[in-house]
Amino acid sequence: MPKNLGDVCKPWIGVHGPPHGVALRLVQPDLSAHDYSFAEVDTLASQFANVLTQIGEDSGKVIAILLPKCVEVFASFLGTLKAKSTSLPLFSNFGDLAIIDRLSDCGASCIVARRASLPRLLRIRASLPALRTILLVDGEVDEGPGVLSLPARLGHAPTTFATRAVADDTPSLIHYTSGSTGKPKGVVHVHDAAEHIERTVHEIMQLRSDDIYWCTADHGWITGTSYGIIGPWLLGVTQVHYAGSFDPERWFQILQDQHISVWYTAPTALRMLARAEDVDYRGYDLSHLRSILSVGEPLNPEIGRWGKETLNRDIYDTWFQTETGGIMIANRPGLPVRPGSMGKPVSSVQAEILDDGGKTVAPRTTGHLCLRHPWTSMFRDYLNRRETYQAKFSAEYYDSGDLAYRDEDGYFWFAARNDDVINTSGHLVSPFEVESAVLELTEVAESAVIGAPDPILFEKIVVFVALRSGQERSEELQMKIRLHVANRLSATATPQDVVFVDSIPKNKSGKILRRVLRARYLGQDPGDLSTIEDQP
Amino acid sequence: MKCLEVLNQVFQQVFANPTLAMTPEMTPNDIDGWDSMAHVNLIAAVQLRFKIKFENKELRSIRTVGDLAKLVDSKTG
Repeated sequence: MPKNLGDVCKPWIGVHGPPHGVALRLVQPDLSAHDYSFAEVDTLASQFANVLTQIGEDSGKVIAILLPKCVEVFASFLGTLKAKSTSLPLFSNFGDLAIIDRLSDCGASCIVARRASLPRLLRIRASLPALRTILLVDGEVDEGPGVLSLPARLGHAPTTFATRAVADDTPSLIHYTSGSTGKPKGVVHVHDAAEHIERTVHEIMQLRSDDIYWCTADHGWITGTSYGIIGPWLLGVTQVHYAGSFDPERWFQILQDQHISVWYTAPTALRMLARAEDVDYRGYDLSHLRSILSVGEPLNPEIGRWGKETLNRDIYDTWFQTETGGIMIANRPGLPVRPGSMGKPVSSVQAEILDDGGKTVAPRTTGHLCLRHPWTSMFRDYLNRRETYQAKFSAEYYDSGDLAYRDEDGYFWFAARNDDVINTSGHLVSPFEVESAVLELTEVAESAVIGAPDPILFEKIVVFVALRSGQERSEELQMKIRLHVANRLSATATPQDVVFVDSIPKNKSGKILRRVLRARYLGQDPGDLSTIEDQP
Repeated sequence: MKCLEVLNQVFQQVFANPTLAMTPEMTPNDIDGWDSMAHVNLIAAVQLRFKIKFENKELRSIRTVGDLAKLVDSKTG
């Protein structure tokens, strides 16, 4: 196992096991594919590390990646690590505010992007004084001060790089996650994470060297880096990545044509596939597909049944968080699936359900889902928020913030979040961030956001809006609010429902009473209303 | 593709880019931020602007801006 995760492809160079030393098969939207060997990926990463060194972005800098799926994602991620800088992979659909919040918090000095993103980056550059360099993956020549062509530099960069030594606790990557209040938190991971990630690809995914593996997660998400870059390559397994958008027929064409044997995807995607009733999945040859795993939000039992009936396979749901860095509790081949359950802990993980006082509760009693620390892929900090980080830990346990219970046989079952954070299609979204974005619109006087159950997304974002006097309620304004949130934060944070109200219920100290809004929206009893400031 | 001009305005609004100039052959790869999630917003905005509804099967046939424009034309006459 390489000490520096940037060298993850190195041990497999020249090892020609099936399928012939291919590290990455990149499938384009038209389903054409291009293979990159372990040697080619490692060489591209080394060249990228040399470019970083030449422009002074090595050793301790933060290098952001704002790219859709393309080979430069993998080269720049590994190259950044080789050069002992820290990678900040971003969703390519992040809006202006989301990018500013993240890059300014971690002081990123360089961002790797496409020319199509340049107008947006130039627009926000004044808000990012630490950002010195924009490296364009499709720019043939430099385009002004600090806007550099990556191909022009790669063409002259040496193909080998003396990978920098790292300690176990050297930062490798940062992913941001949302809390119920405040700005997103930078979750810091380290090179030592490889040990736990490797354990889980062995034990849970049960990957073999001859597998062809497809993780559909975006690299802006922890799943996309731990299991869409690092994990499979720790075992020398070929990864398929698809550069197109979600499409049921094309996804199944890929499963069939690329002989995918292990597929890691999200419950939302599976629910969307199950809803596409006009697609005949039985017409595809999935004889190579050994395992289907999912992650992001709980897998509902009916989708498990759909998998069994339509695909003739169990779907193994797994649970982890940005903070845990790797799978902690999971279903897996060989463990009978209890539909709706999270499964059982990874062999090296001790998970407990604790009450408010930190005592273990009886089976089937809901409590705080906690993990005994440490483990190697555990996050090491919330950037610039040490106190918030420390508050997640007791002497023995890390508190996940999820509520769950354990049955008599040791299976864990998710119950709810312990805060107002919304899990929409596997992405955690802060109500505070969405409310703040909506309030930027001049038409809006007040806003409040809740998560509501959704058959596809698990939870959908619902925004309640009180307009300024004289403003008209209209479908066009609802659309304007949706698009504003999408463009300021991300398309993932788009409100699925915009509800106009006369006022937002608050308590006497001005706190938004989300439970009241949630109950009203769902047609339930809102309970005690005595604390509302002004009852409608 | 008589709707292309109006469609261009919708794209500019959806992707918050007032300089966006669409051509029929453009694909999601050519436009910053046009992924699966943004596509849902785009379709909702197009439906609202043209007062039309798309079927799921129709949506899956869209590969380019031109495909979308043809679909809109077929529904608006």
